Amino acid sequence: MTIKDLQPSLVWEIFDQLTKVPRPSQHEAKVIEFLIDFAKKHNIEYKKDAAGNIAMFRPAAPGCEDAPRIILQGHMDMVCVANDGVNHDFFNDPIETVIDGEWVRANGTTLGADNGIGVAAGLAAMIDDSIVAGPIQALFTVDEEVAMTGANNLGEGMIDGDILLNLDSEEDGEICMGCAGGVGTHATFPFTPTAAPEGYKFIDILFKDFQGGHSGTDIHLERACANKLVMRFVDSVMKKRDVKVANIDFGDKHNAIAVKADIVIGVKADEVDATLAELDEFYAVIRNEYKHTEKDMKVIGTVIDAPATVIDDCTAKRVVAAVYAAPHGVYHMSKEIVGLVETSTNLASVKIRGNEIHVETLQRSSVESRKDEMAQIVEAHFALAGATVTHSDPYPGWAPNMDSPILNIAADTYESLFGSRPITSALHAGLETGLFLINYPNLDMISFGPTLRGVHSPKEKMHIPAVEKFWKLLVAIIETVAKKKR
Amino acid sequence: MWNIFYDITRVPRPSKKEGKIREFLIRFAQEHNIAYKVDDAGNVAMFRPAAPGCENAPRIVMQGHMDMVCEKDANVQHDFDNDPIETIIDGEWVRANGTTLGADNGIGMAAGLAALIDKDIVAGPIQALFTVDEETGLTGANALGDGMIEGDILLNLDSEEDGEICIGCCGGLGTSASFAYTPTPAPAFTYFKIVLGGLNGGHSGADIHLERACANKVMARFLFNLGKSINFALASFNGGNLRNAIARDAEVVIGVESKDKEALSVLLNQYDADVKNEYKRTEPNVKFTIESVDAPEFVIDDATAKNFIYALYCAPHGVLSMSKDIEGLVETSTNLASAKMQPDNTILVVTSQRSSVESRKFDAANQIETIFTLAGATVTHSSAYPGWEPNMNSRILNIAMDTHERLFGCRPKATAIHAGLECGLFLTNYPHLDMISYGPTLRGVHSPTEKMHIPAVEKFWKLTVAIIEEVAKLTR
Repeated sequence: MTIKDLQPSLVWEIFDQLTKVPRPSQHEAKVIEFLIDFAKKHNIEYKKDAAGNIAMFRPAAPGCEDAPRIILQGHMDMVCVANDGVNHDFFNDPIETVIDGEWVRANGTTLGADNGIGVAAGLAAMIDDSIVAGPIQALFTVDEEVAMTGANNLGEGMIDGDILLNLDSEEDGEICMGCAGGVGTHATFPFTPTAAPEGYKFIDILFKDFQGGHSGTDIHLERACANKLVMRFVDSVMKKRDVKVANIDFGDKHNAIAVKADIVIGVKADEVDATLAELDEFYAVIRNEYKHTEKDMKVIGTVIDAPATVIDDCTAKRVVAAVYAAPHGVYHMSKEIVGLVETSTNLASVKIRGNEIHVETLQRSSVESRKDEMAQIVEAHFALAGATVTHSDPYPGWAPNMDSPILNIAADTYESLFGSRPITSALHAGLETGLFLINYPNLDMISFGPTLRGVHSPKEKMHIPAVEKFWKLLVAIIETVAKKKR
Repeated sequence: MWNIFYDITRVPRPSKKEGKIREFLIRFAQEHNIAYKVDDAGNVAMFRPAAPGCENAPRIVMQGHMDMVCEKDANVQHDFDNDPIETIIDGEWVRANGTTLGADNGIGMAAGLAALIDKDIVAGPIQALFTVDEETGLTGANALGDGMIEGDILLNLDSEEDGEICIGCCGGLGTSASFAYTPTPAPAFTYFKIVLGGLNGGHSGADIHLERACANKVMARFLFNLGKSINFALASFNGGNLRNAIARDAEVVIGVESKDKEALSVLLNQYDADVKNEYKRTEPNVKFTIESVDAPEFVIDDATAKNFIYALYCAPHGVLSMSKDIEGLVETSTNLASAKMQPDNTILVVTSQRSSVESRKFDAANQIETIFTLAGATVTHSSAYPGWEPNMNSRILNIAMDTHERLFGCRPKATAIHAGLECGLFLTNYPHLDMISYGPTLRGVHSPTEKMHIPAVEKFWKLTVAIIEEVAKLTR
């Protein structure tokens, strides 16, 4: 049995075709071609903008021309990750799908159901004549996964509608109606490389195997920030003796909570033992503090050869202090949706480039003024420490609105189809929907999709029964809206 | 136990005036041939030897405080230094006649004393410990003399909810930052007083999780934003009040050039709207007002003003971590309590940190110190009092839970509070004490509506006796 044999057959057939089309983020040429071919083959009017986004337009069924116009939206790119040892060329090879009980997954690679199933549903809705629809269009964006390039650069006339159904969510039974905007704050500390002093021995201190996670959706878990913890230790040593700092290599991507942090410090030769002993004590203290959230974290101190240069004392002290006491974590919880983070910041990385120390942070909030506040707090903090601070271009959030008409239509429809009310949720992460609001502030939007697990990893899998429910819900929403007047 | 409680209600015992109740306790000990000790602070300990065969059982300390909060209704004549409390039975409750009842913590004392003399209880070594001045300073617990605790297990009898056992409280630490500024002749600007008010404030322990606004931060944020577009002089900043209260108002005097008056007003209106939106659920009455004032003689020098504003803006405030052992319990928090002008050309910022995890308490204080030090302030810490970290594996907790279930058919709920308790203080000198805190249901404590639930008192006593007898079977 292959996925083409699954129900609903139209959606699975199209999804199957899509899995054969290579579509890494920022390399969408082949899938753009696929979409245009599809439109042409089915006589569907389409548009392509400069960024490569594709819109397709289906006229209303007779009598439904005055219904609110719906946009079905998904992203055409996928995250490309393969297991170690798997030989897969994401630029050329089709994804091999596997049916595994109630799930569809890929053979050692990401599946691309995020957001291939959304694209497939959108295409299916364009051609399924059995659906009695008002005016509907599909919108397929490029590069959602890396930089939201498509949504950020939507051309004129690519959205022509009142209601937008984003099909990029991952949980049956949930309807997402909000997301966080984001902004990056970057602090730079120039330093003077100084000759490593005589009589000092150097220790490489590595904090590793932290749980990390997504800096939006996992920030509420109160995991440790490895970067802050390393500097908490170094700060405590600096209060007792002279410490040189030679190298700093903390964290990784700006939207990931750091899983490791590495620093090279120097102390007088006869103080090495005391420092290492203090490191052991410190490890015990943080193991107690984080006993529920960081079971794997490790702290390793290794004496190494002296480097040629160290960071000048003044800058080293300021950087240690600034990173130690830096804002990190949840700042406000939503009062609209219980358990949802409203505002947070991630101290993502501290790295040396040339003669500068660079600190990367990312702030998120579903309330615009609070996003600004969070970024300002981080700015004020690093400015006090003498850094030069800049902000990256912000992207806006999508504030939850419990009174949204489409939300209520979708929830009622779900209940009448499946007998239970869906959960309304919001995501403390960026979604394209926030970006659409910049130029189309009156769009009434929701986001939903079938259950996916392990997204962005070779474990990605999609729940087959959920796909059937997803399609049923989508069709029912379209048909309900078709009976209304805009 | 009720008889002893009755006797206690006859004895005046305001906080810091425990002379009479101490005399009562000493007389009680002498009449019943009980060994006792009194330390310099006035705390009283009494010792009951073990029943035969139970000498090697873990030693239990039954602890309560001897003082009570003295409040009365406006129209009531009552002299707390001399008059007995008039108790009234009101349905299932005992209350007083227009005054606090003193069941907090008189019922704890009564249970402790009863346990010392009730021959029916087969007990290991037990002692009672009655402390002074829990209510206004934790003075007794802070100054406990040598040898006043001789035990392994401590049962604090000062909690107020049947069916709950408290197993943790937070410790505290204060961090103050002093900004020395140079008074600078006020430039020829137009001056305004901006007042932020209408906030809810609240208790910095019990209410910190509510995400109410901190007036100091909200004002600092405004000044930070103002400074990005308008050149202004800061003449004064006064916000907040007590260390353990969340700041509910703040007032600044600033000066701007005449041409910027309009822009200032626009910015303030916009900011007012943003804050109202952000805090719509927790601060419905937040409000900014602005009025012209005469020019002051001096203002704070620019550099210090900027550092002060930046530090106040980015200093942590609120919940820092939540307990993972007890749902809904704040584990660590900090309160940006006040920032006020001092007569010696300094601005004093007062903050206080709380945590039930000692290392987190100190870490929070250190981070705040680090920020204010980066801003050029001089930072000091006030003396810390220790927290009591919840330990779900505590032996006495599990004995109490099992016993409660055996007696009453259900397990009590383990709780902790994000405020200070005497139990935390005992850990300073007796770090190995295994402790729980429990008590009968009280309502309206610290007010003339204070009342105690009669059926809960019976359960309380039964549980206490059963716990003592269970422990008596163990070996320490």
